[in-house]
Amino acid sequence: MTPGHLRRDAALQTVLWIAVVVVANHLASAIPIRIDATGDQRFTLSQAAHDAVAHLERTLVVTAYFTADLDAPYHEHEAALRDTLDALAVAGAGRIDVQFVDPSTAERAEAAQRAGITPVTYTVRAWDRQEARSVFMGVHVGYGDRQMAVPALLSIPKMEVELVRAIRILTVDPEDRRKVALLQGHGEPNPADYPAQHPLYQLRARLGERYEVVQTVGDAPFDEDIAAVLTLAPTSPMPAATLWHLDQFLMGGGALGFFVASAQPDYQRGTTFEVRHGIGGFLGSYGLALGREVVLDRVHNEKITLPAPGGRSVQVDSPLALTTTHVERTAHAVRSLRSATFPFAAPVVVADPLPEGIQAEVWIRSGPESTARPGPIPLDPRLLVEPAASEVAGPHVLAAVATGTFPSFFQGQPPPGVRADEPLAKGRLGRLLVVGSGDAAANNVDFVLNSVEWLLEDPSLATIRARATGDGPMTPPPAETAWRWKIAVVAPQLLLGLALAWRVRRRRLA
Amino acid sequence: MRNVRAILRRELIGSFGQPIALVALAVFLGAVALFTLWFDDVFVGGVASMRRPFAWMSVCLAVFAPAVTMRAVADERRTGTLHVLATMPVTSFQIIVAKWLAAVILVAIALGLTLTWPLALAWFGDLDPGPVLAGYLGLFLAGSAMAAVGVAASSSTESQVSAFLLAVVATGLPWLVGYALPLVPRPWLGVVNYLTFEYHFANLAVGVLDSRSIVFFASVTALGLRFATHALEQRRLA
Repeated sequence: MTPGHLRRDAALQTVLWIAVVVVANHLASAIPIRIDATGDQRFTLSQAAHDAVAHLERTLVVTAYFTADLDAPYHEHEAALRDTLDALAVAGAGRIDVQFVDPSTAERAEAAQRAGITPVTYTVRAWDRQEARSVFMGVHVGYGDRQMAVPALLSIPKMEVELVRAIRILTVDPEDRRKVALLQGHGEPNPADYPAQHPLYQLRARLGERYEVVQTVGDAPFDEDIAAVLTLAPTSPMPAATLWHLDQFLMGGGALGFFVASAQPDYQRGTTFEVRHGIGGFLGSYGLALGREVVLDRVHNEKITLPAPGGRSVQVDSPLALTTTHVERTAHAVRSLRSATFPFAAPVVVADPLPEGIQAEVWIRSGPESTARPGPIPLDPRLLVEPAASEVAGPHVLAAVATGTFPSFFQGQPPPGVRADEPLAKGRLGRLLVVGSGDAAANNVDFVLNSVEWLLEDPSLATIRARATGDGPMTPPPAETAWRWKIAVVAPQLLLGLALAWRVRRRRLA
Repeated sequence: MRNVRAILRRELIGSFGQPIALVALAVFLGAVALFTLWFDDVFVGGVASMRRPFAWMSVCLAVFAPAVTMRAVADERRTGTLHVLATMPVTSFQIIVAKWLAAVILVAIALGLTLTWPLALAWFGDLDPGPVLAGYLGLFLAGSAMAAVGVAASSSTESQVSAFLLAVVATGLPWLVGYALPLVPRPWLGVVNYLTFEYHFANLAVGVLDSRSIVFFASVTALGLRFATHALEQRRLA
């Protein structure tokens, strides 16, 4: 063969290779095979999602109002939504009808807004233009005469949990929803009094989507259909009658959740003061006492707002608003927390030994750099730079739970003033959650939702939330020893490098 | 196969007999350590995840692979040993595959030496082994593809420096475009996104073994090897 023929053959071969590669990629894209290698199968439809659509009594109509051909960073959202809805439709065994509508015309956009889908505006920065684009990325779900909209699905990892949440809300009969009571009347904030953007208002709204939320002052026995009672940040003493009803509710197999602190800030005086709600000893009788100190962390903390001269306010990093990443990795309710903020937190003291028949589990601790200090404590962070002699080194427990047959705080005898003819609750398996910070509820709404699911033994959505968060938590090495770990990670490579260099040198000398 | 093995052996002896492979390994590991332990500390943040280390490793690989392949063919041509090889009963494809395999072995050694990262993270946290294995598979496939591109760059020039720079641009561009997708015009977004290394590697790094990503990296590798072979054949015919 002449060189000319050989060159032509080589060129032809190269063209053939390119053709084969293009066809292979086209086929792989047309028939993709995906294997989810994650331990919790986070890219596969969850068991909770299967359960949510397994027993549909009528057709669930899902209409996705999704603008086609979105720019980055939303360019993969439609495909992800289609994948999730396809998987749900298969799990629903023919009871789910999925439609996609591109609301690019004015008429369809109006229909999307009527269905409760809110337009999302974002800035497109292309090489040749910069423009604000208003698009639709929501889903409307209909189940018989019940309707619900998921206004915008902006996060791919959270798509499944948002869809399953909507489906569960629609498919559970409103009369079958479990009842959660918010205790009021002892200085607790009423979420309904806050503006719609406030985390407490949103917490109340999100609880209301799945549960029937009622308010109670606890001056009478709790209704039998109440499944859990939440107490968020009480500031005034609880009457003995309220404690008695809480005690009886817990003994009768109820679930109690407390977000309570032992100290609060007094911005006028510039110090903390002790909150006298009278719950500390009450909780202690169940094995989870509330310390009177405040937990500080000078390394890991958030900002608090302090009054400044001239009627202004200033935001400062404060050891009194500690953050922590030290969460129990096996507990679904907290597994999804990358970090949590606990302003003015009291340590939760887990009794050792615990009362008979009680099992406790610590969910969240402060970091090893934290300390617990008795009040009053100055709010000015400049006065907290040096630890006081009275500070007790951490870590300290910030959230813990207990389950079991709880003993009565009142030893079975009602306190004075409480009607004696009330039947004494029989010992049943109850659930108790104690978080040592009242403000933690507003700072960690997902944590509160997960906690309520734990209290109601309904952990399925918490499981999906944990999956949506993705990677598992890690307890980092303490700051003073972290450098040793870094060297430990690099050391094997250094040793190998030295060994190789030595070997090369020997060979050269030889 | 015997020919490939013989050239591969010669390549490996050549690589470890000279400081270039060791220096490249040391720089790769030093850069990964610098980025993931000091500049972007993997121990801070409370998440047991290899995603950030993987991202930095992929960036470092885009320099490491061209560094270990830059002399593969270019040096043979500069020193004239390519003519000696041409007289032997080996095909251009066998020469290219052997040189590529030598680079892939170095990539595998480099990646193997970073296993202390996931081990340390697993010690402190709840590290999911699935995404770690998938991520390393992604790094290996991406590294193999980059090595093929590097060998192709080395085949097309006599200068090692030119080969290195050409390969860095050719392997770095598909990564960089992945981070600049908002700038891509909408009609091209799907195709450009598919052609980025970042898109396919991100799939694997989160723990999804996607046939599209595996086929994509295999395709880049195949094309790189074919272009390298083509360039070498043209040279032999000249």
